[in-house]
Amino acid sequence: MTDAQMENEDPRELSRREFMDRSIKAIGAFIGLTMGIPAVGYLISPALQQQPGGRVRLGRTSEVEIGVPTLFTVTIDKTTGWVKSEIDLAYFVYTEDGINFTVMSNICTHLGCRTHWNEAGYIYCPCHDGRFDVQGNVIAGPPPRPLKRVEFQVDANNTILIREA
Amino acid sequence: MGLGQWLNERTGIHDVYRVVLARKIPKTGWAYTLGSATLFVMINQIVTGILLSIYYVPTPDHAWDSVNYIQNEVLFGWLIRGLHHFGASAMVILVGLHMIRVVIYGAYKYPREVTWLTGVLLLIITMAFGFTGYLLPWDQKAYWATTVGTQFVGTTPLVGDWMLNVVRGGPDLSAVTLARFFGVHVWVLPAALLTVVSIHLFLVIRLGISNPPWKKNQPPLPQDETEASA
Repeated sequence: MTDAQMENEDPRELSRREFMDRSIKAIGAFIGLTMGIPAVGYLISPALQQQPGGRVRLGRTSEVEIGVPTLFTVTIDKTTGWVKSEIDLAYFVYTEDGINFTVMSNICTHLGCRTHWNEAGYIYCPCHDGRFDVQGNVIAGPPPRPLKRVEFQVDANNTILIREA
Repeated sequence: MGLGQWLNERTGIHDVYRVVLARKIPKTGWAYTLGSATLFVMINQIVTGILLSIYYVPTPDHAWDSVNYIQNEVLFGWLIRGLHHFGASAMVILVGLHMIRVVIYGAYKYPREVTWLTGVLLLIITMAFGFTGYLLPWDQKAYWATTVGTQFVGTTPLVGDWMLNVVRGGPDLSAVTLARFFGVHVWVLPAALLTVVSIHLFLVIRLGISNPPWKKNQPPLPQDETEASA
């Protein structure tokens, strides 16, 4: 009690002990923030980095079968983190008349598995028995949305070009 | 009833706070802050080390590239790695100064011999941290410094060659060396460090810190019961 009386004669006055207590907490909070904020940025950093996607040649329009979604596969070089690797991109190209084309990702909209064409007449996802029609619309199973359509261009040489995803 | 009260009734957290953080200490000086400074840097090393392990890969193929990625690509990567890098040096320096202070002030004497012995273990653990961490960037300096550093082991009489093989995981520095240095650096040593630091701090709190030598003739402080009863 004697300590408190000596240090705190006027109760409205900030005591030495109280001042030190608050200072230490303030400095602690400052250090915590200067460490904490960069740490959060550090952890979420890869999600913030965007890689500009170049154009990729998918294939020639003459290679697309009429009335059947045709799977085109291209290999691109991609740097993920510190690893340079080759990644396979796969897209269905569909046409009914050889003039108008639809390009869609073969990634299932349910949980991201790779789909393929089944000769019975539908695009099939083996993971959970999802089925899509030739246009990519869901006809059976759990997929919530049609297969993702991809923007594309057809150049003067009848080559289908898409942007890297 | 407030949350603090609810928690205190079940855990006694107020007593823990009072004994650990609000404990009374004799009037000393700046030299007595070296232990706390070391503790602070240790926490810095743990936090930044865990963050580095999010990106670092301990294989010769990717170690340098992943460090380079942290340093140049990751947001604040330079800061996190810098804190760990310079923190390592600060840790060694502070541990050394802390030990010198304890020697000069005679603070290792009765009843604090076990605190001293655990401190010696902590010194060895800190040096082992520095040695194993040095290799991990897998650059030229790391490679050759560890080549030289491990070579010392080989000079041990009779079992030197065998011990060198154990340390390196083979006759030369290799992927095996890098992997085991990483394992020791992030698992073995932290486990040892936290265990021994816990004992060290428990003893510091239980025994209270020593009076400076120039105050030795004064009667022990009332709260320093262990010394008073001894």
